[in-house]
Amino acid sequence: MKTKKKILLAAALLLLACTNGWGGEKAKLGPCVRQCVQAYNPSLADSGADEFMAADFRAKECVQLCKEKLYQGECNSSADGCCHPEYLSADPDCQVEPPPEPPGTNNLPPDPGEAGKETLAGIDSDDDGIRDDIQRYIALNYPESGKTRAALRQFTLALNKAILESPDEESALYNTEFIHRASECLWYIFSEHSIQIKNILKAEYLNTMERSRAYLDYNHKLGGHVFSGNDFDEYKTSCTFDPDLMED
Amino acid sequence: MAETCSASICDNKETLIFFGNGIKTTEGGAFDSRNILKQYLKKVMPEEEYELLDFKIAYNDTHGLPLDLLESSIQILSGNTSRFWRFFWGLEIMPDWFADKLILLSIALDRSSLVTTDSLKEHVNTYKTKIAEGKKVLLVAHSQGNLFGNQAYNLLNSRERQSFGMVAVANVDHNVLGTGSPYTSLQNDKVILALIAAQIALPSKPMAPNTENLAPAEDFLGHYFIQSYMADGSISADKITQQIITTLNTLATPPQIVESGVITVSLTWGSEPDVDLHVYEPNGMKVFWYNLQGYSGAIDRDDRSGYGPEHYTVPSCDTLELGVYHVALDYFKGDGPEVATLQIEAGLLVRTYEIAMPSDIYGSADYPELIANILVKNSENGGYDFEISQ
Repeated sequence: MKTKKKILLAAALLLLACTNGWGGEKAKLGPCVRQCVQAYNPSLADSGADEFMAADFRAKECVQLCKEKLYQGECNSSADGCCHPEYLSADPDCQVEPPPEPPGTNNLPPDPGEAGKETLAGIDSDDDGIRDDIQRYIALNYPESGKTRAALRQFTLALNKAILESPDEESALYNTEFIHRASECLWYIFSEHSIQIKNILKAEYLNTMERSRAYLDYNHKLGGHVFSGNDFDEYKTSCTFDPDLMED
Repeated sequence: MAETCSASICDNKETLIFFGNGIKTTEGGAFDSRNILKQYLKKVMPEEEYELLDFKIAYNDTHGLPLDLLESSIQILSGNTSRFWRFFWGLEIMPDWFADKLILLSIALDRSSLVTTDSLKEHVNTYKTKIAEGKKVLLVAHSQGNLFGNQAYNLLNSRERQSFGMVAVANVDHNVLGTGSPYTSLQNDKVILALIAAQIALPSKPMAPNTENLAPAEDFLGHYFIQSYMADGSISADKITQQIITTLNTLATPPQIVESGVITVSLTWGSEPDVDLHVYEPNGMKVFWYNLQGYSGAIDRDDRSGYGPEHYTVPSCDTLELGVYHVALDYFKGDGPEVATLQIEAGLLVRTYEIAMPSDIYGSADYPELIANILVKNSENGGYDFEISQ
């Protein structure tokens, strides 16, 4: 009875010492049992597992505890088939199975992270015309609304043209018409609320000094010009898709 | 560019309302400000009167203010430019230090260098053309947009001024078209208050605040057009809307000198005797002083004694042709260098070109110099798409 209590106490201590993580579920039973038993009897040397993996110990509660995943496993920060939660970026075992994406985000490219900020154009790994980070932003923030995603994609493509393809005034004016049609499309869907939705996206888009400067440079080329627009009741025609065919 | 020639383009609107932005407004903000104006007027005006209005943006450059603000803020923001834009566009509450920098930069700008005749050329040309088409023009100017509006007014002749009005919002200037009204400046507008304090002894100091909203604005500065002045249900929004309606009623309907249409080309020049406009229609017809009437459009004003304008119009979508309209010039008669200004409107597009002509050997009646092409295509939506290229 005394032994059982000690084993349970050791297991509980180990449990407290471990951090929850998706890699923990893949912990091997062997290391778990070994550490559990060793915690129960620290005097046992780790000499190859024969001693403390003997039948006497395997039959103890450690096996059961580890099977029930109460213990998150003993992991090294190197490849051992187990993800060490404190080495998520370095332990190869943490890289093999990323966390599942939220619903509706299948086929999203990976987050480019800081590498995505190194150039003006950024990384567009699936070559859909939209930077991976912005593609992910749209998909992850509006997973339930197909028409919102479509309208924001239209706006982003227009913003891309404006920022990346406006070396002179003529091209800036030309590209502004795409921005205006995309803005009219957003207004058709969200009315004045489109202002905030659009600006939040633009703030995400302008996430480096280089991009911010390029945007202001484009903006500067528009100074002194006159712009027209469609009537409200024609804004639907500014969408490059049919928003009314999308239920959400 | 997909420019749908929809019903509104083919309609003949009687009055144009322009939104003229200040230097803290990027182009997207000007677009949204114009739409907010449209929305308010649509709510309060009888439908038949609202339908006669056309809304445009007379966009003014920001003169480097956002970039200066960005560069002076970025260290404090640890390089987070997205955060900067969220402050700038009012998506997050602006911290005091950010507001202080913005106000300081606004005050530091030299107003005399902000507005130049060159920066106003397209705006003024458009106002003149629209008035020549028999339309009233009203400018709703915000912040430094008032400086641009007042200067544009000075460039109109006395006849044109009778049909041009301005409603001033957050007026940083000391008058409205040379008079004391109409204007709306908020009591808690920190930019206006700072400008007044900085210029207290100068006659050019901004007009004093004259309006107080009951509810606090989301905008910390109390200066932004949408968040503060046109805040939903605010006293200032009602006041501005009423000022627009009142001013529209005071404007004279100008005599129609040239036709409006789905395509218009307007040519003006300086003091030399004659520059000629030539348009080759898609059907092959050449329209010029010797042949004023084309199949698609016509030169409805031909000037042979100097200054212009000469004006070509395709009056409606009924006679609009698919294909390319070529626009060309001939410096027909003159004694020295001349500069011509060509303004083309096609669908929603407006383009202005300045052409320096060294002497009257520039072009000829048979071989005028090609300046621009207007491409008309069928659009996917059943209307027309336009492109203008040089």
